Amino acid sequence: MKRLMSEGGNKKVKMKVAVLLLAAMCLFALATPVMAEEISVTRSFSTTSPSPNSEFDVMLTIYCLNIGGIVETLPDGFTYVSTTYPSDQVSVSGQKIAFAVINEKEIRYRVKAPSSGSGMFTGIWEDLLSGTDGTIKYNSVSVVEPPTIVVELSTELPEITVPVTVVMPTPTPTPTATPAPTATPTPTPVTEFHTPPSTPGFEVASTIVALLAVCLLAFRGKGGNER
Amino acid sequence: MRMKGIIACLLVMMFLISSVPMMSVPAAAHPDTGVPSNPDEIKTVARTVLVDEIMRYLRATYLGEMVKHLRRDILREAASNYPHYPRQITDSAGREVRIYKPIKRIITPNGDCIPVLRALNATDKIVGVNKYTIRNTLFYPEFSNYPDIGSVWSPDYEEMVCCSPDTVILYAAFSKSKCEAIESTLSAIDPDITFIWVDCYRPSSQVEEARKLGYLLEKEEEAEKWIDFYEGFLNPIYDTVDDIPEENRTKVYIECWKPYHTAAGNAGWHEKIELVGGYNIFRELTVDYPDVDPENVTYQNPEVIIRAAKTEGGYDTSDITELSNLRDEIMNRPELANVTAVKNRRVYVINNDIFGGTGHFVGMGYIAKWLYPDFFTDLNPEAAHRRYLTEFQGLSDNLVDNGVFVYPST
Repeated sequence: MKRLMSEGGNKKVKMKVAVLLLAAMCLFALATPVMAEEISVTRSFSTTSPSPNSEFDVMLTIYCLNIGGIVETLPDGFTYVSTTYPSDQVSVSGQKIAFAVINEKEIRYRVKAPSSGSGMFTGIWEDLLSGTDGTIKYNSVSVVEPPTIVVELSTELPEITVPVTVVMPTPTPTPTATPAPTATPTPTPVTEFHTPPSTPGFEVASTIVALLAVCLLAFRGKGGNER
Repeated sequence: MRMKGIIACLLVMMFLISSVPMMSVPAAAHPDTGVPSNPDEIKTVARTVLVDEIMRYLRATYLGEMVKHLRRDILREAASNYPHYPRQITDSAGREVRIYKPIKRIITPNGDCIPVLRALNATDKIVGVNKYTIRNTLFYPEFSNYPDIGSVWSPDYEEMVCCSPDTVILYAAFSKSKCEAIESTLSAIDPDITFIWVDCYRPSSQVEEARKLGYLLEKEEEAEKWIDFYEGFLNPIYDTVDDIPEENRTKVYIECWKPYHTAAGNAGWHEKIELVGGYNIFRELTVDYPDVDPENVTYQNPEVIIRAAKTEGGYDTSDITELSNLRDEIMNRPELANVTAVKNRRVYVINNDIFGGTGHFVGMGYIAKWLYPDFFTDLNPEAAHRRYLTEFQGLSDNLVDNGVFVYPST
């Protein structure tokens, strides 16, 4: 009987606590204004090393800036091309691009790189609801020449030929950086080349050994675990 | 068990607190006349306007452009009121009007807008009225102690400024130069004041103006109720007379205030006569209120003569002789003795209380019956008058019983 009464009493106490907690939560929800989350705008690029005169994308990701504006400043030499953002919410003047924000979370715009050089992308944001403003962390972008591919063929190989067709991608035509008397040849499709001699069967053996090693490890692990 | 019930109630409360939607305007099903009529449209307009204002601000502040833009504090206020604001209309003078927050303090140099504001249940926002409104204690009893801001023709700027208005309602098609002067003077004192140019006495703009004011004042539902009533009375008249060819329309001579002073051009009375199927014999004249030659009236030989009376009759008298005397004077003019209207005794007098202002639809009903008695046997302008006063003006229909407005009524 005493135990029953005690259990009943505990239950009552627990219920009271639960009710008080719920009431407190309700009051908190009513009385406490929504905590302002920190506003930030971050910038990323489809590439930070664009080729000369190529176009690349800039993405602005917006956190907690619901109504306001963002103004990007492009480095000298870089040119604004276009944006997927609504046209009535964008204005361009020189190196500056202004964006009106009403609940958007991302802005994407396209820029054309110069023929060479580098620069800093900077920006600011202004939130009209909180009355605050801030800067967007700067990013550096550098124009980089695309790598050139050189293929050398040995003249000392024996006369064993295997017909192989290799198609090399033709890169975007670019001016060469060094004014050499002999220009680097543009890679062209190769229809045949000389291969060095290989030990017959060596590859098969090495594959078998590798497989055996894997099986040993697997079974060893299983055997080790069995009791 | 009791505890469970309490917990259940608290849970319901939490659910309600977290899910109560913002105050939203109930959707209206009226065809769009360019005025947003439901929450989605209101939000669309708000977004368009807010984007425009943000871009102007950014262009001026960060791009160095010479662009007119809102002050930052007003822009912030607009942002905080989104998506219910900003709101935008084109008023009856063709001007773009934008508001960024709820209207709270209106002054009315245009006194004809007050009955519309009454119909919209928005008179609590009025903080100053013109002297004619104050003097008309019978029709505007609640404004008798309000600040007197003068009139469109003699504005009291000091009193207007003392009212601290955020909105001023002026005429669109009446005394334009005076209204321009008022706007120019007040804007220089307080550039944040909004000016709305509407008439509220013309049938051609009544519906659109009521709808626009309803949208600006967040009284969309009330506006539609008023419009339903207004159109419900007039549209059947329009539908009936639309089928009457022009050559068969009743020829009317309208006389305003004094002998041989008529209405034509853009005059409201001319418009009202023609809308109910009348053929104004001086419709070709371009001046709004020209004086005409008696011989010309005789030559035109109207079938009906209507005399509009300003001081004779109305809400403030029950003496019908004020109107009957006017009629007798016209009937006894020797030069009109052979005019069809006089010979057939189709000479009527109508008081401006039901022919001008927002109550004009009542007068139009009477005129329709006079012009085409066989078509409008069931039309009851007096019943419409009573309903207008009680349902949309907050007044007693004793005003109908105690006043005289037309003579003869049939």
